[in-house]
Amino acid sequence: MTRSHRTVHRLLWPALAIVVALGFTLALALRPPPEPPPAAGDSKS
Amino acid sequence: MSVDFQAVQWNRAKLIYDGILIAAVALFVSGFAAIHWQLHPPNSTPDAIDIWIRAFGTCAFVMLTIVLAIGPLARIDRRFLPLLYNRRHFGVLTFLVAAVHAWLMIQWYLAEGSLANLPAELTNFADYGKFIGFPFKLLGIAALLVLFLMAATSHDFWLAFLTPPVWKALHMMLYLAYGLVVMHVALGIMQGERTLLIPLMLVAGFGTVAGLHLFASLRERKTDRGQPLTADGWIAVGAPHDIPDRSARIVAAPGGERIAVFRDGAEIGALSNLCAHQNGPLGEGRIVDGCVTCPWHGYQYRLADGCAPPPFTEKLVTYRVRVNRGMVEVDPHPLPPGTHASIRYSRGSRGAA
Repeated sequence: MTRSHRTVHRLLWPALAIVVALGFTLALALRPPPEPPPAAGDSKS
Repeated sequence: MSVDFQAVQWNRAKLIYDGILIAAVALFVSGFAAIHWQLHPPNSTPDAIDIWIRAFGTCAFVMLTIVLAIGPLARIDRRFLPLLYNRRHFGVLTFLVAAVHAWLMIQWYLAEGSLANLPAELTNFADYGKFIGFPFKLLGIAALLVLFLMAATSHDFWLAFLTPPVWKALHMMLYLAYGLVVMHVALGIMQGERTLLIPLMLVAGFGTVAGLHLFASLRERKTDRGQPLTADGWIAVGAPHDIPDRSARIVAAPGGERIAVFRDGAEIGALSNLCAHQNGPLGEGRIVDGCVTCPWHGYQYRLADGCAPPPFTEKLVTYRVRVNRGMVEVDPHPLPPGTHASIRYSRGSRGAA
């Protein structure tokens, strides 16, 4: 790798890690609550 | 390095590599589908297709994680170099597995009789303003397009046509694709499934790849800062025997490209650290059959003048070297590619040959 590629690596990976970590954390925290299990009577229909 | 053009230069090592790769993909996908089938037997054709979508999608994520981990692993530990040798085939197969995942998605819509919903989902522009509810399939499509571009330009023809620095810069888009894939999963399947496995897979995969890249680049930072120069502007490398026989020490002038200073017995020579093929780190290679051999794909150069042995035509820039007061020194100003610059030294020699 050339010197400039290594410089791009050193800048790009921290930035990508921060953006993805932030996006992932938000996606996890803002997940909608799980759907309630179907009522007992529903399973007979 | 080829004399006659061949679309793909197969050899025994590549065939073994590809054979293992294809077998591992088949095993992973079929194993994933079989376990899922047992745990959640499908009730309909779309349910069955959904299992295969998950199997190929997970496989593509795992493959992309491995592909991106190979580079820094090989920089950290030489034992991973064999994985790097045929990484391009790994990358192309990753694209094919991801493409099957996308094709199965279309089959799912067809089985549901709702193919028109797909463009409707992608063109519901109100959703683009949301975070949860963002059209995550678009992220997957964008990542697939990047993977396609990588696969389509993976051949040495494009490497030669674009030149190694441009080709490498283009292929660094793969990092962006990986980020898109993580968010494709996080905003897609992770929103509907409460299992811990999906977040764990994303954290483990992305964390490993990002950590390895950061570690490898920080470790190399010291070399890139460069060595101090002597009074007359040369770089001190060390005593001749500090350079391992048939290997190199890598040095750099402040702000300059790296230089690989090799010793082959009593011969010392300095070449660019960048292989002419893919800019691989020549200084991490060894001298094999009298030639400096790139650790990535085995391209070879003569130590004396940086020329590939006939009939090959690649040439590297060389650097002047000297032994001054028992220390090897290298002039950081490159000589024209193919210039003879190596020296022979003997114990007690005080100057350049």
